[in-house]
Amino acid sequence: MTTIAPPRGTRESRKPSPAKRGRAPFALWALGLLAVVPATTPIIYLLWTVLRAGVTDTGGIPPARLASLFASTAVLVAAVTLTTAVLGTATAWLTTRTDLAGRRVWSTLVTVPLVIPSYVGALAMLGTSGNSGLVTEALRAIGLPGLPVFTGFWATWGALSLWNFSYVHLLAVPAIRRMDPALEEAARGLGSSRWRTLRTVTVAQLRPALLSGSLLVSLYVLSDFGAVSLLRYETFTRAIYAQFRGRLDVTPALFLSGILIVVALVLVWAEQRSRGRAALAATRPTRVPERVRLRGVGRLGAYGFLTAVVTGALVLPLATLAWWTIRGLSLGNPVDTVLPELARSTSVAGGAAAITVLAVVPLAILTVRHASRRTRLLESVTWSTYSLPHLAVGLGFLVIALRFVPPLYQTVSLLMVAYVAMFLPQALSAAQTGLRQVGVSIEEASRGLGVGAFGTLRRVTLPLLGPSLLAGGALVFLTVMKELPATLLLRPTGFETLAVRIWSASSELFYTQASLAALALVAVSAVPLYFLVARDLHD
Amino acid sequence: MPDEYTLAIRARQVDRRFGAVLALDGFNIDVHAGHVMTLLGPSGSGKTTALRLVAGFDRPDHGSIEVGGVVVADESTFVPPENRRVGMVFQDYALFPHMTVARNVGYGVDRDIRRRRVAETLDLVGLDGKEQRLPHELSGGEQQRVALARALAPEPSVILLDEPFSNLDAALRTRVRTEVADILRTAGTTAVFVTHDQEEALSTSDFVAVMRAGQVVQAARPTDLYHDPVDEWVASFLGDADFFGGEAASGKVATPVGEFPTNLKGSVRVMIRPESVVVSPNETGTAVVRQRQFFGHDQLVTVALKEGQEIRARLGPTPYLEPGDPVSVSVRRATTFPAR
Amino acid sequence: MRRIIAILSAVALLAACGGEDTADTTTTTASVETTTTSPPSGTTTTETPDTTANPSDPLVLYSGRNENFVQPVIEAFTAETGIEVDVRYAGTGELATTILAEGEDTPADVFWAQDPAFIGGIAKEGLLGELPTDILELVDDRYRDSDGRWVGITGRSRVFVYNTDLLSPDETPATVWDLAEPEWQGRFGVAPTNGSFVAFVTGMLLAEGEDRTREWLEGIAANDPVIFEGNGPIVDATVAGDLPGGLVNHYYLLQRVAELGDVPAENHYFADGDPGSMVMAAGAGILITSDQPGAAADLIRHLLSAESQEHFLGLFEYPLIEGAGSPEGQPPLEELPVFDISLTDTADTLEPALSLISESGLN
Repeated sequence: MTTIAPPRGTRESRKPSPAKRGRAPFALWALGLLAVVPATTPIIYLLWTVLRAGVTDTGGIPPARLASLFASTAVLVAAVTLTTAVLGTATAWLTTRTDLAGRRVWSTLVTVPLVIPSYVGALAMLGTSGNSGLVTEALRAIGLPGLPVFTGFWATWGALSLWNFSYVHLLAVPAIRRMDPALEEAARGLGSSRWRTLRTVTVAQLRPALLSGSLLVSLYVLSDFGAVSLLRYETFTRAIYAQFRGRLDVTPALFLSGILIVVALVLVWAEQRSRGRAALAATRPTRVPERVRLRGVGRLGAYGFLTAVVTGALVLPLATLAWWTIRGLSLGNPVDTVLPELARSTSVAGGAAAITVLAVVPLAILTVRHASRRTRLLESVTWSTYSLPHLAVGLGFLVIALRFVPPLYQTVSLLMVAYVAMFLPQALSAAQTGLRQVGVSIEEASRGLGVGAFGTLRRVTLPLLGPSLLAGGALVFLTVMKELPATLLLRPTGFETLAVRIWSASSELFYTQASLAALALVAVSAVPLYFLVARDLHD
Repeated sequence: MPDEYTLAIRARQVDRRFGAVLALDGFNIDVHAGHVMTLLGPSGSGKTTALRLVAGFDRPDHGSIEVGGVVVADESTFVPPENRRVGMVFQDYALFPHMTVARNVGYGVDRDIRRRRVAETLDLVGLDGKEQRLPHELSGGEQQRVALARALAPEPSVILLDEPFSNLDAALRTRVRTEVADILRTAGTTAVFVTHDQEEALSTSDFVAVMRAGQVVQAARPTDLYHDPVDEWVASFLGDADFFGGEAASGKVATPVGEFPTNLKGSVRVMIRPESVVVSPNETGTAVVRQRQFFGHDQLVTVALKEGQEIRARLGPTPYLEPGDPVSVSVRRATTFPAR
Repeated sequence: MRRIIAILSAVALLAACGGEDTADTTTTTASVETTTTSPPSGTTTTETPDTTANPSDPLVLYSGRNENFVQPVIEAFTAETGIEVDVRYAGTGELATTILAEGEDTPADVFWAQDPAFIGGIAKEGLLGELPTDILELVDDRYRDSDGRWVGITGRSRVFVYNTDLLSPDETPATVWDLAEPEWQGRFGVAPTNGSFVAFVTGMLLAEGEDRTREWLEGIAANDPVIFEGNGPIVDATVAGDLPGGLVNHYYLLQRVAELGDVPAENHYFADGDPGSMVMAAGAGILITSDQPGAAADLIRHLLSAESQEHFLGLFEYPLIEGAGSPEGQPPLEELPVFDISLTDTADTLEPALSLISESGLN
């Protein structure tokens, strides 16, 4: 049965909710704050830098330049968000609601590009196009003119869309599954045309998922550093890094970072507002909707579309990387750094995942079992670091460590703190979902049977939470493996990870090293991705 | 023996507020050891809140709660649930999904006596042989019995059951209800049920406390409650009833269906339950059958009286009546209340 | 579940501890030796290595030169002296900013920059110590700091690399000022964050003053240049034919030719007096806060040793010690077009140059 939940602010029931337990023990709050507070200090510092610089003195950046940065960034964000929304919904719909063959396989294939960070995709794009690129060589072999080199706005738009639309797909699939055909039938029965039904009923049911997905993608685009640099499109992040590299004073870079953070927070706020109006709270529909039959041109077109997407996002980049690697290896280029870097990347990602998972348990209990205005505030604060561009966060941590905690400067520990700060919310949301599924009555049952709070946590809650915590950890692992800008800034001297290697090698166009490192990164990332996606998609 | 020592649960003037909602408002109850008590009331009457306060999952704002003579909650004390020796069966059973039946049942029992108690309790509820099953492999009724066994295994002084039969389908409900009541009697444990189903309350309990708006309106044995409800609302809540207004004088009150004795004076309301009404076909009768609902084993007949009011009668499958038939009506028993 | 917790905790611990140890990028071989090594020909050793610092602490080098270039030389140094070196590779400007931000707490012992301006800026802040005279004497005074705080290791000339299929020699820009003209719109590449570009602008500022420099930079920025992060990508794009040409240092093309054989590209040198013909030194200096100045000096001496300079020669940069020769097929250093400015003075125009570059919109 589908109901439309009342808008926020109205009392939904007069019964006292047994799901909440009242005020939380002090220990929980202490642990929760410990996990969250260090993460927010760089943000506060950066925002303070912006305020201190004032509106008139824009940190040494000419206002005209600021304006043009705003414009170019905004255009990119809007374009990519729109494209990914359409792409992701289309692939989700085609693999869920139609009668195409091999739907599950297609759905999985469409999600695999998530292992490819956008800068690797950009690298592959560069390696495919231009006079030395793979596709150009192939085309020339059959007598066709080669491709021009892919750079600038269109290339960046393409790259960011191709390697981010999978997020929308992942969110749209369960939303489409939960859609109730009864609503559409009711609309049609009331005389609404197919198009109007699609607009007002179908899309409305998908709206929360699409909004979340779009927010995720737009934040990624704001944050993206590697792809825009490689493909040479001026955005805020590129300017921040250029300022950091090209000036003697850190202030302009900090100032721009502060602005970027404000923009990100505005986006988050906007999404919260537009989501709050009415929520469609759906349970499993009573009937599975009929599959849409695709015939003839439609069917061919659908297969073609899916093939094109998978080729562009997965096959072509991997092929390009492999080609460059093989070519370079045959020329005798050195690649001995890849294994230690692989080890470093993996251990650092694993460590960050482990710490995050541990840190997240008290926070999850606090926000789910002892929900109150204060815990909601704590939760928003936790999420604030997540939405922020990593370059900005990294810069903030760098400056804070340098000025206030020098022993931490250029250490792996600082890197870990930054990772946990940035990616804690991923694990938190997984833990919260798991905790909600465990249900409070089970914990009360344990308490009623004589087992205290800690014993209940150990014997009942944590075992049941296990799968969700693992999922959260896998997500963090995946994200840390791919992380580039913060790692670049905060790493100890000589501590190169795969991501850093890809970046520095491609900046000097040592394609062999970059490609091999990229392939290693993709291979290792595939493991947690499989674990995550196989669980969610085919539920 | 002084009363205090036979009281399994005593609640005095308990208040509990959730924001703007006053869930319990001066809640008082005594539950004697070995009895089965049911808190009966509509949704929002506070019965579940009361149960949770006794169990210790919530804390009263005012008032005191004693279990087995020991104060477990008042202005200055609060004993956490794990130290109260109060068993609880939840509405959704709350079985630990990752543990077998045996481990679920033995969860609250000391290690040294665990095997014995698990075996005994499972035998008591009729589930021996299912020790190694996981909860999701059992039927609804079996899950419920596991929940009961788990609550009973630690030999608590009191066991609380929160709408335990609501998740079962109707056919199963009656049978399971009786079984559970028997099990509890055999075990001799004090039990407090919470339900909104008056049939369930009346049939399984030694005492029923009817709750409305956070207070106990009347607590009595089922028969007393049914036949001598303290006011109209309780009367209607416990079963079908029809009401007539009248003036009481000299120990009697007259109604369209006859005269009844009463101790009250002045305006009164007369309550008549359908099963006290006898309807017989009578060609000269002034009453007319207006509607008839046939249930197989009984029928509910609505009769229109000469004066215009209606009265319902619950009869056996015979006589066969049709709307429009003239009948005569007599009433065996009535209860009077002062008119408000 | 317990297993999972155990595994996760173990990984966390490992990562937190293990990270520091794997920080070395250089191969670590022999144990530390504290005896003086036999000096390479061309240097006179007047100092013994400083043994007050813990000899097992690695030397920290901040290098604006890229890894493939630096690695072999460092490895040779460690093999000879047993002193381990931790190298941080990044852009020269970024490293300079980092050192400034780190201030007294900087872990760096040696800074090896790609250009004289940024390292001059660091020297100007008083963060570089005076080098031993024997080191300073190895290099002509044109290619080192006049106060002795940094010394040039290799020399390079600014050039305009161009693709010979797309441009004939007469079509190349006659002067660097031409690049602001409409005919060059969208047809050239620059790397405005690169140290060499910044140094080139400081040179222009010294010679031509602020107004002309600002005018040129704004003209360039408005002329749709293709912006790159570094010089290498400019040359690769030019060689591939994706770009007609760009402003780079001379050796990049020569390295590509050595690697790939014949390519359709050439270096175009600007004329005497043209800022575009600036010859710069990539300099190195010792941080004044270093606790291993002796070992640091040894490193710099090693960079100026005959074998290291020979290595740089092989990579087509100009060695700066006497009698080391010039890269194959290149005119000797003295015969390159002359743009007469003092490299030391570029430190004074660094800040204005950076501001101008930023204000022009290039950065």
